Amino acid sequence: MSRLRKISLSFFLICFLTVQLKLTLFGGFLWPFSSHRLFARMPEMNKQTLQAVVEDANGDIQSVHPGRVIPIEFCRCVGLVRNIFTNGSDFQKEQLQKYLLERLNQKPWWAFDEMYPSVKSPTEAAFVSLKFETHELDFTSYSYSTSLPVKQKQHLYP
Amino acid sequence: MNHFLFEQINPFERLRYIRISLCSIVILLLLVGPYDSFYLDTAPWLYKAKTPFPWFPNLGSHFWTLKFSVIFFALSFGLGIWKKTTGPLFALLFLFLNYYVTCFGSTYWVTNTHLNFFAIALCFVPQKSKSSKEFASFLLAFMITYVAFLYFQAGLSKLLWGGLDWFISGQRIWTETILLGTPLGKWLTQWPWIFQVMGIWTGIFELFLPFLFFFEKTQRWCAVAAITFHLGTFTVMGISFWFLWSLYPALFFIKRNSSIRLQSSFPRHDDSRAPLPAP
Repeated sequence: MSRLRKISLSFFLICFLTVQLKLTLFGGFLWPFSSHRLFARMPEMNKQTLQAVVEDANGDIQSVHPGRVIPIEFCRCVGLVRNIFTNGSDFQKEQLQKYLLERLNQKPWWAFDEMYPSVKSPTEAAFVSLKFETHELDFTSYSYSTSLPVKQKQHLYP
Repeated sequence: MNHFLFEQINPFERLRYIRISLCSIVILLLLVGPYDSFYLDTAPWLYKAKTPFPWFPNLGSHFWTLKFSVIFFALSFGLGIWKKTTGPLFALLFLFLNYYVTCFGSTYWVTNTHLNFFAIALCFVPQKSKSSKEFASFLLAFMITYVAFLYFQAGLSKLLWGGLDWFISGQRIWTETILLGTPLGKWLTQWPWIFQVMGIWTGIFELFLPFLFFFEKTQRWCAVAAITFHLGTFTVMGISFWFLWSLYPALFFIKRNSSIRLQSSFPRHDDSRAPLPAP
Protein backbone atom coordinates (compact mmCIF):
# COMPACT_ATOMS: atom_id res chain seq x y z
CA MET A 1 0.00 0.00 0.00
CA SER A 2 1.35 3.40 -0.92
CA ARG A 3 2.35 5.90 1.72
CA LEU A 4 -0.25 8.37 0.45
CA ARG A 5 -3.02 5.79 0.82
CA LYS A 6 -1.91 5.01 4.36
CA ILE A 7 -1.94 8.71 5.22
CA SER A 8 -5.42 9.08 3.68
CA LEU A 9 -6.79 6.14 5.70
CA SER A 10 -5.24 7.46 8.91
CA PHE A 11 -6.75 10.88 8.18
CA PHE A 12 -10.16 9.28 7.65
CA LEU A 13 -9.89 7.53 11.02
CA ILE A 14 -8.91 10.77 12.77
CA CYS A 15 -11.87 12.59 11.18
CA PHE A 16 -14.23 9.81 12.24
CA LEU A 17 -13.02 9.93 15.85
CA THR A 18 -13.17 13.74 15.84
CA VAL A 19 -16.87 13.64 14.96
CA GLN A 20 -17.53 11.14 17.74
CA LEU A 21 -15.50 13.19 20.22
CA LYS A 22 -17.27 16.40 19.23
CA LEU A 23 -20.61 14.78 20.11
CA THR A 24 -19.24 13.66 23.48
CA LEU A 25 -17.86 17.11 24.30
CA PHE A 26 -20.58 19.34 22.89
CA GLY A 27 -23.65 17.11 22.41
CA GLY A 28 -25.90 17.28 19.37
CA PHE A 29 -27.59 14.85 17.04
CA LEU A 30 -25.69 13.34 14.15
CA TRP A 31 -27.01 9.82 13.73
CA PRO A 32 -25.44 7.24 13.31
CA PHE A 33 -22.52 8.82 15.18
CA SER A 34 -22.85 8.73 18.93
CA SER A 35 -21.69 10.65 21.94
CA HIS A 36 -21.83 7.49 24.09
CA ARG A 37 -22.96 9.58 27.02
CA LEU A 38 -24.22 6.81 29.23
CA PHE A 39 -25.62 7.79 32.61
CA ALA A 40 -23.14 10.66 32.56
CA ARG A 41 -24.72 13.09 35.01
CA MET A 42 -24.69 12.85 38.78
CA PRO A 43 -28.08 11.81 40.13
CA GLU A 44 -30.38 14.14 41.98
CA MET A 45 -31.40 12.78 45.35
CA ASN A 46 -34.91 14.04 44.61
CA LYS A 47 -35.35 12.66 41.15
CA GLN A 48 -38.23 13.20 38.73
CA THR A 49 -39.16 10.00 36.96
CA LEU A 50 -41.82 9.20 34.42
CA GLN A 51 -44.26 6.46 35.27
CA ALA A 52 -47.03 4.76 33.35
CA VAL A 53 -50.10 4.12 35.50
CA VAL A 54 -52.41 1.37 34.29
CA GLU A 55 -55.73 0.31 35.71
CA ASP A 56 -57.52 -2.92 34.88
CA ALA A 57 -61.22 -3.76 34.79
CA ASN A 58 -61.07 -4.99 38.41
CA GLY A 59 -59.73 -1.67 39.60
CA ASP A 60 -56.17 -2.88 40.18
CA ILE A 61 -53.74 -0.03 39.61
CA GLN A 62 -50.06 -0.47 38.78
CA SER A 63 -47.41 2.17 38.40
CA VAL A 64 -44.63 0.97 36.10
CA HIS A 65 -41.70 2.13 33.99
CA PRO A 66 -42.89 3.41 30.57
CA GLY A 67 -40.89 0.55 29.03
CA ARG A 68 -43.59 -1.82 30.32
CA VAL A 69 -46.25 -0.18 28.14
CA ILE A 70 -44.20 0.61 24.99
CA PRO A 71 -42.71 -2.28 22.99
CA ILE A 72 -39.29 -0.74 22.30
CA GLU A 73 -36.01 -0.45 24.25
CA PHE A 74 -36.75 0.79 27.78
CA CYS A 75 -34.05 3.44 27.56
CA ARG A 76 -35.82 5.11 24.64
CA CYS A 77 -39.31 5.00 26.17
CA VAL A 78 -38.82 7.84 28.65
CA GLY A 79 -37.67 10.17 25.86
CA LEU A 80 -40.60 9.12 23.68
CA VAL A 81 -43.19 9.73 26.41
CA ARG A 82 -41.62 13.04 27.38
CA ASN A 83 -41.37 14.26 23.79
CA ILE A 84 -44.88 13.28 22.75
CA PHE A 85 -46.81 14.08 25.91
CA THR A 86 -45.15 17.44 26.48
CA ASN A 87 -44.38 18.67 22.96
CA GLY A 88 -46.57 16.52 20.71
CA SER A 89 -49.91 17.50 19.20
CA ASP A 90 -53.18 16.59 20.93
CA PHE A 91 -53.84 14.14 18.10
CA GLN A 92 -50.52 12.37 18.68
CA LYS A 93 -51.09 12.18 22.43
CA GLU A 94 -54.57 10.76 21.99
CA GLN A 95 -53.49 8.27 19.34
CA LEU A 96 -50.46 7.05 21.28
CA GLN A 97 -52.39 6.53 24.49
CA LYS A 98 -55.17 4.70 22.62
CA TYR A 99 -52.69 2.55 20.70
CA LEU A 100 -50.69 1.55 23.79
CA LEU A 101 -53.79 0.56 25.71
CA GLU A 102 -55.05 -1.56 22.79
CA ARG A 103 -51.61 -3.07 22.37
CA LEU A 104 -51.37 -4.07 26.05
CA ASN A 105 -54.70 -5.86 25.83
CA GLN A 106 -54.48 -7.41 22.38
CA LYS A 107 -50.83 -8.07 21.68
CA PRO A 108 -48.67 -8.17 24.82
CA TRP A 109 -44.96 -8.79 24.34
CA TRP A 110 -42.16 -10.57 26.15
CA ALA A 111 -38.84 -9.24 27.35
CA PHE A 112 -35.76 -9.32 25.19
CA ASP A 113 -32.61 -7.67 26.45
CA GLU A 114 -33.37 -3.93 26.61
CA MET A 115 -37.07 -4.45 25.91
CA TYR A 116 -39.12 -4.95 29.05
CA PRO A 117 -42.11 -7.30 29.06
CA SER A 118 -45.52 -5.70 28.83
CA VAL A 119 -47.26 -5.06 32.14
CA LYS A 120 -49.70 -7.80 33.16
CA SER A 121 -52.82 -7.53 35.19
CA PRO A 122 -52.59 -9.68 38.36
CA THR A 123 -56.05 -11.05 37.61
CA GLU A 124 -55.57 -11.14 33.83
CA ALA A 125 -58.32 -8.57 33.45
CA ALA A 126 -58.21 -6.14 30.55
CA PHE A 127 -56.64 -2.75 31.12
CA VAL A 128 -59.13 0.06 30.94
CA SER A 129 -56.99 3.13 31.44
CA LEU A 130 -53.45 4.33 30.91
CA LYS A 131 -52.02 7.54 32.29
CA PHE A 132 -48.57 9.01 32.46
CA GLU A 133 -47.34 10.71 35.61
CA THR A 134 -44.21 12.37 36.89
CA HIS A 135 -43.09 11.05 40.25
CA GLU A 136 -40.60 12.84 42.44
CA LEU A 137 -38.64 10.16 44.26
CA ASP A 138 -36.69 10.70 47.44
CA PHE A 139 -33.49 8.67 47.46
CA THR A 140 -32.27 10.16 50.74
CA SER A 141 -34.73 8.09 52.75
CA TYR A 142 -34.35 4.94 50.66
CA SER A 143 -34.47 1.63 52.40
CA TYR A 144 -34.25 -1.75 50.65
CA SER A 145 -37.08 -3.23 52.68
CA THR A 146 -39.59 -0.51 51.78
CA SER A 147 -40.51 0.97 48.42
CA LEU A 148 -38.89 4.22 47.36
CA PRO A 149 -40.80 7.18 48.86
CA VAL A 150 -42.70 9.27 46.30
CA LYS A 151 -42.65 12.89 47.43
CA GLN A 152 -44.89 14.27 44.76
CA LYS A 153 -46.97 13.07 41.81
CA GLN A 154 -48.00 15.13 38.82
CA HIS A 155 -50.21 14.15 35.92
CA LEU A 156 -48.50 14.34 32.56
CA TYR A 157 -51.28 12.87 30.42
CA PRO A 158 -54.25 12.95 30.44
CA MET B 1 0.93 3.20 14.95
CA ASN B 2 1.76 1.79 11.52
CA HIS B 3 1.89 -1.66 13.10
CA PHE B 4 -1.52 -1.25 14.73
CA LEU B 5 -3.22 0.14 11.63
CA PHE B 6 -1.65 -1.87 8.85
CA GLU B 7 -0.07 -4.98 10.34
CA GLN B 8 -2.83 -6.68 12.32
CA ILE B 9 -2.35 -10.39 12.72
CA ASN B 10 -4.50 -12.61 10.54
CA PRO B 11 -6.92 -9.88 9.41
CA PHE B 12 -8.84 -11.86 6.78
CA GLU B 13 -9.86 -14.69 9.03
CA ARG B 14 -10.76 -12.32 11.86
CA LEU B 15 -12.87 -10.24 9.49
CA ARG B 16 -14.60 -13.38 8.30
CA TYR B 17 -15.55 -14.31 11.86
CA ILE B 18 -16.61 -10.71 12.54
CA ARG B 19 -18.87 -10.87 9.47
CA ILE B 20 -20.47 -14.09 10.69
CA SER B 21 -20.85 -12.75 14.25
CA LEU B 22 -22.27 -9.43 13.14
CA CYS B 23 -24.80 -10.98 10.78
CA SER B 24 -25.90 -13.43 13.49
CA ILE B 25 -26.33 -10.57 15.97
CA VAL B 26 -28.41 -8.54 13.50
CA ILE B 27 -30.62 -11.51 12.61
CA LEU B 28 -31.24 -12.26 16.29
CA LEU B 29 -31.92 -8.59 17.08
CA LEU B 30 -34.41 -8.30 14.26
CA LEU B 31 -36.19 -11.58 14.91
CA VAL B 32 -36.65 -11.27 18.68
CA GLY B 33 -35.55 -7.75 19.50
CA PRO B 34 -37.27 -4.39 19.56
CA TYR B 35 -37.96 -4.03 15.82
CA ASP B 36 -41.62 -4.39 16.60
CA SER B 37 -44.90 -3.79 14.76
CA PHE B 38 -44.97 -0.61 16.87
CA TYR B 39 -43.06 0.98 13.98
CA LEU B 40 -45.78 -0.01 11.56
CA ASP B 41 -48.84 0.78 13.68
CA THR B 42 -47.75 4.22 14.89
CA ALA B 43 -46.02 5.43 11.71
CA PRO B 44 -48.96 7.49 10.34
CA TRP B 45 -48.88 9.89 13.29
CA LEU B 46 -45.49 9.36 14.94
CA TYR B 47 -42.94 8.96 12.16
CA LYS B 48 -40.98 12.09 11.30
CA ALA B 49 -37.90 11.90 9.08
CA LYS B 50 -34.82 13.78 10.25
CA THR B 51 -31.11 14.01 9.53
CA PRO B 52 -29.28 12.41 7.80
CA PHE B 53 -32.13 11.21 5.54
CA PRO B 54 -34.84 13.88 5.82
CA TRP B 55 -36.32 12.63 2.55
CA PHE B 56 -36.87 9.12 3.86
CA PRO B 57 -40.59 8.23 3.47
CA ASN B 58 -43.00 6.70 5.93
CA LEU B 59 -42.70 3.04 5.01
CA GLY B 60 -46.09 1.94 6.27
CA SER B 61 -46.41 -1.82 5.85
CA HIS B 62 -43.13 -1.85 3.90
CA PHE B 63 -41.46 -1.70 7.31
CA TRP B 64 -41.81 -5.50 7.24
CA THR B 65 -40.35 -5.61 3.73
CA LEU B 66 -37.34 -3.66 4.93
CA LYS B 67 -36.94 -5.69 8.09
CA PHE B 68 -37.12 -9.07 6.34
CA SER B 69 -34.90 -7.87 3.51
CA VAL B 70 -32.27 -7.02 6.11
CA ILE B 71 -32.65 -10.49 7.63
CA PHE B 72 -32.38 -12.10 4.20
CA PHE B 73 -29.27 -10.17 3.18
CA ALA B 74 -27.70 -10.60 6.63
CA LEU B 75 -28.17 -14.34 6.28
CA SER B 76 -26.73 -14.38 2.76
CA PHE B 77 -23.81 -12.13 3.67
CA GLY B 78 -23.12 -14.08 6.85
CA LEU B 79 -23.01 -17.31 4.86
CA GLY B 80 -20.71 -15.67 2.35
CA ILE B 81 -23.14 -15.93 -0.58
CA TRP B 82 -22.48 -13.31 -3.29
CA LYS B 83 -20.73 -11.12 -0.73
CA LYS B 84 -20.02 -8.34 -3.24
CA THR B 85 -23.76 -7.84 -3.71
CA THR B 86 -25.33 -9.01 -0.47
CA GLY B 87 -22.82 -7.11 1.71
CA PRO B 88 -23.59 -3.60 0.45
CA LEU B 89 -27.32 -4.36 0.29
CA PHE B 90 -27.28 -5.62 3.86
CA ALA B 91 -25.25 -2.63 5.11
CA LEU B 92 -27.42 -0.09 3.29
CA LEU B 93 -30.79 -1.57 4.23
CA PHE B 94 -29.75 -2.11 7.84
CA LEU B 95 -28.61 1.51 7.95
CA PHE B 96 -32.05 2.60 6.69
CA LEU B 97 -33.84 0.31 9.15
CA ASN B 98 -31.87 1.53 12.15
CA TYR B 99 -32.37 5.10 11.01
CA TYR B 100 -36.10 4.55 10.50
CA VAL B 101 -36.68 3.34 14.06
CA THR B 102 -34.98 6.43 15.51
CA CYS B 103 -37.60 8.65 13.84
CA PHE B 104 -40.48 7.81 16.15
CA GLY B 105 -40.42 10.63 18.65
CA SER B 106 -37.89 9.13 21.01
CA THR B 107 -34.73 10.98 21.90
CA TYR B 108 -31.81 9.19 20.29
CA TRP B 109 -30.02 6.96 22.72
CA VAL B 110 -26.92 5.01 22.00
CA THR B 111 -27.93 1.55 21.00
CA ASN B 112 -26.31 -0.38 18.23
CA THR B 113 -25.03 1.89 15.47
CA HIS B 114 -21.57 0.32 15.79
CA LEU B 115 -23.20 -2.55 13.89
CA ASN B 116 -23.97 -0.16 11.04
CA PHE B 117 -20.42 1.15 10.89
CA PHE B 118 -18.94 -2.33 11.07
CA ALA B 119 -21.35 -3.63 8.41
CA ILE B 120 -20.25 -0.82 6.09
CA ALA B 121 -16.59 -1.56 6.84
CA LEU B 122 -17.12 -5.25 6.03
CA CYS B 123 -18.28 -4.33 2.53
CA PHE B 124 -14.75 -3.11 1.83
CA VAL B 125 -12.95 -6.31 2.79
CA PRO B 126 -10.68 -6.99 -0.21
CA GLN B 127 -9.92 -10.30 -1.88
CA LYS B 128 -7.38 -12.25 0.12
CA SER B 129 -3.87 -11.46 -1.11
CA LYS B 130 -0.62 -10.20 0.36
CA SER B 131 -1.02 -6.79 -1.24
CA SER B 132 -4.52 -6.27 0.22
CA LYS B 133 -3.58 -7.48 3.70
CA GLU B 134 -2.73 -3.98 4.87
CA PHE B 135 -6.15 -2.66 3.93
CA ALA B 136 -7.86 -5.59 5.64
CA SER B 137 -5.72 -4.81 8.68
CA PHE B 138 -6.91 -1.20 8.58
CA LEU B 139 -10.55 -2.30 8.61
CA LEU B 140 -9.86 -4.39 11.66
CA ALA B 141 -7.96 -1.55 13.33
CA PHE B 142 -10.92 0.74 12.62
CA MET B 143 -13.24 -1.60 14.51
CA ILE B 144 -10.84 -2.00 17.44
CA THR B 145 -10.39 1.77 17.62
CA TYR B 146 -14.15 2.25 17.55
CA VAL B 147 -14.56 -0.13 20.50
CA ALA B 148 -11.74 1.45 22.51
CA PHE B 149 -12.95 4.96 21.77
CA LEU B 150 -16.53 4.05 22.71
CA TYR B 151 -15.45 3.23 26.26
CA PHE B 152 -13.27 6.31 26.43
CA GLN B 153 -16.17 8.51 25.26
CA ALA B 154 -18.40 6.99 27.94
CA GLY B 155 -15.77 7.68 30.62
CA LEU B 156 -14.99 11.16 29.37
CA SER B 157 -18.64 12.18 29.32
CA LYS B 158 -19.00 11.05 32.94
CA LEU B 159 -15.93 13.04 33.89
CA LEU B 160 -17.24 16.13 32.10
CA TRP B 161 -20.86 16.01 33.27
CA GLY B 162 -20.56 14.28 36.61
CA GLY B 163 -16.99 15.11 37.64
CA LEU B 164 -14.67 12.86 39.59
CA ASP B 165 -17.45 12.48 42.12
CA TRP B 166 -19.34 10.34 39.60
CA PHE B 167 -16.70 7.64 39.92
CA ILE B 168 -15.85 8.08 43.59
CA SER B 169 -19.37 8.21 44.99
CA GLY B 170 -20.94 5.51 42.80
CA GLN B 171 -24.26 7.27 43.39
CA ARG B 172 -25.45 7.19 39.80
CA ILE B 173 -25.05 3.43 39.58
CA TRP B 174 -26.73 3.09 42.98
CA THR B 175 -29.80 5.19 42.05
CA GLU B 176 -30.18 3.59 38.62
CA THR B 177 -29.99 0.15 40.21
CA ILE B 178 -32.69 1.11 42.70
CA LEU B 179 -34.90 2.20 39.81
CA LEU B 180 -34.09 -0.29 37.06
CA GLY B 181 -31.84 -2.93 38.57
CA THR B 182 -32.19 -6.68 38.69
CA PRO B 183 -33.43 -8.34 41.90
CA LEU B 184 -29.78 -9.08 42.77
CA GLY B 185 -28.77 -5.50 42.01
CA LYS B 186 -31.59 -4.13 44.14
CA TRP B 187 -30.57 -6.42 46.98
CA LEU B 188 -27.03 -5.05 46.75
CA THR B 189 -28.29 -1.46 47.10
CA GLN B 190 -28.38 -2.07 50.86
CA TRP B 191 -24.62 -1.58 50.81
CA PRO B 192 -23.84 1.65 48.93
CA TRP B 193 -20.07 1.08 49.30
CA ILE B 194 -20.36 -1.75 46.75
CA PHE B 195 -21.49 0.87 44.24
CA GLN B 196 -18.53 3.08 45.15
CA VAL B 197 -16.25 0.20 44.20
CA MET B 198 -18.22 -0.23 40.95
CA GLY B 199 -17.88 3.51 40.27
CA ILE B 200 -14.11 3.44 40.72
CA TRP B 201 -13.80 0.33 38.56
CA THR B 202 -15.94 2.04 35.89
CA GLY B 203 -13.57 5.02 35.97
CA ILE B 204 -10.47 2.85 35.62
CA PHE B 205 -12.07 0.75 32.91
CA GLU B 206 -13.49 3.57 30.82
CA LEU B 207 -10.74 6.15 31.18
CA PHE B 208 -7.54 4.11 31.25
CA LEU B 209 -8.11 0.64 29.83
CA PRO B 210 -9.20 1.80 26.34
CA PHE B 211 -5.58 2.73 25.56
CA LEU B 212 -4.51 -0.85 26.17
CA PHE B 213 -6.74 -2.02 23.30
CA PHE B 214 -4.09 -0.64 20.94
CA PHE B 215 -1.36 -3.03 22.08
CA GLU B 216 -1.17 -6.60 20.95
CA LYS B 217 -0.07 -7.94 24.34
CA THR B 218 -2.85 -6.29 26.35
CA GLN B 219 -5.70 -6.44 23.86
CA ARG B 220 -7.08 -9.80 24.92
CA TRP B 221 -6.98 -8.89 28.60
CA CYS B 222 -8.87 -5.71 27.80
CA ALA B 223 -11.48 -7.70 25.92
CA VAL B 224 -11.83 -10.07 28.88
CA ALA B 225 -12.14 -7.06 31.21
CA ALA B 226 -14.75 -5.51 28.92
CA ILE B 227 -16.84 -8.68 28.76
CA THR B 228 -16.60 -9.01 32.55
CA PHE B 229 -17.62 -5.36 32.88
CA HIS B 230 -20.69 -5.90 30.68
CA LEU B 231 -21.67 -9.12 32.44
CA GLY B 232 -21.35 -7.33 35.78
CA THR B 233 -23.53 -4.48 34.54
CA PHE B 234 -26.05 -7.04 33.28
CA THR B 235 -26.11 -8.86 36.60
CA VAL B 236 -26.67 -5.67 38.59
CA MET B 237 -28.52 -3.34 36.24
CA GLY B 238 -29.92 -5.67 33.59
CA ILE B 239 -28.16 -3.84 30.75
CA SER B 240 -26.12 -6.32 28.74
CA PHE B 241 -24.95 -4.59 25.56
CA TRP B 242 -24.61 -8.12 24.19
CA PHE B 243 -24.71 -6.80 20.62
CA LEU B 244 -21.37 -5.13 21.27
CA TRP B 245 -19.32 -7.65 23.21
CA SER B 246 -20.56 -10.64 21.20
CA LEU B 247 -18.19 -9.37 18.53
CA TYR B 248 -15.18 -9.50 20.84
CA PRO B 249 -14.27 -13.18 20.38
CA ALA B 250 -13.97 -12.61 16.62
CA LEU B 251 -12.34 -9.23 17.08
CA PHE B 252 -9.80 -10.08 19.76
CA PHE B 253 -9.44 -13.80 20.40
CA ILE B 254 -8.86 -15.30 16.96
CA LYS B 255 -5.23 -14.65 16.30
CA ARG B 256 -2.00 -16.55 16.13
CA ASN B 257 -3.23 -20.13 15.93
CA SER B 258 -5.29 -19.49 12.86
CA SER B 259 -2.62 -17.24 11.32
CA ILE B 260 -0.61 -20.40 10.67
CA ARG B 261 -3.50 -21.65 8.56
CA LEU B 262 -3.70 -18.29 6.78
CA GLN B 263 -0.03 -18.35 5.86
CA SER B 264 -0.52 -21.77 4.34
CA SER B 265 -3.32 -20.32 2.23
CA PHE B 266 -0.77 -18.22 0.29
CA PRO B 267 1.16 -21.04 -1.36
CA ARG B 268 1.64 -19.30 -4.72
CA HIS B 269 4.52 -17.17 -3.50
CA ASP B 270 6.41 -20.26 -2.52
CA ASP B 271 5.50 -22.29 -5.57
CA SER B 272 8.89 -21.61 -7.17
CA ARG B 273 10.54 -23.43 -4.30
CA ALA B 274 8.32 -26.49 -4.63
CA PRO B 275 9.99 -29.47 -6.23
CA LEU B 276 9.10 -29.93 -9.85
CA PRO B 277 7.14 -33.04 -10.70
CA ALA B 278 9.25 -35.81 -12.09
CA PRO B 279 9.20 -35.92 -15.87
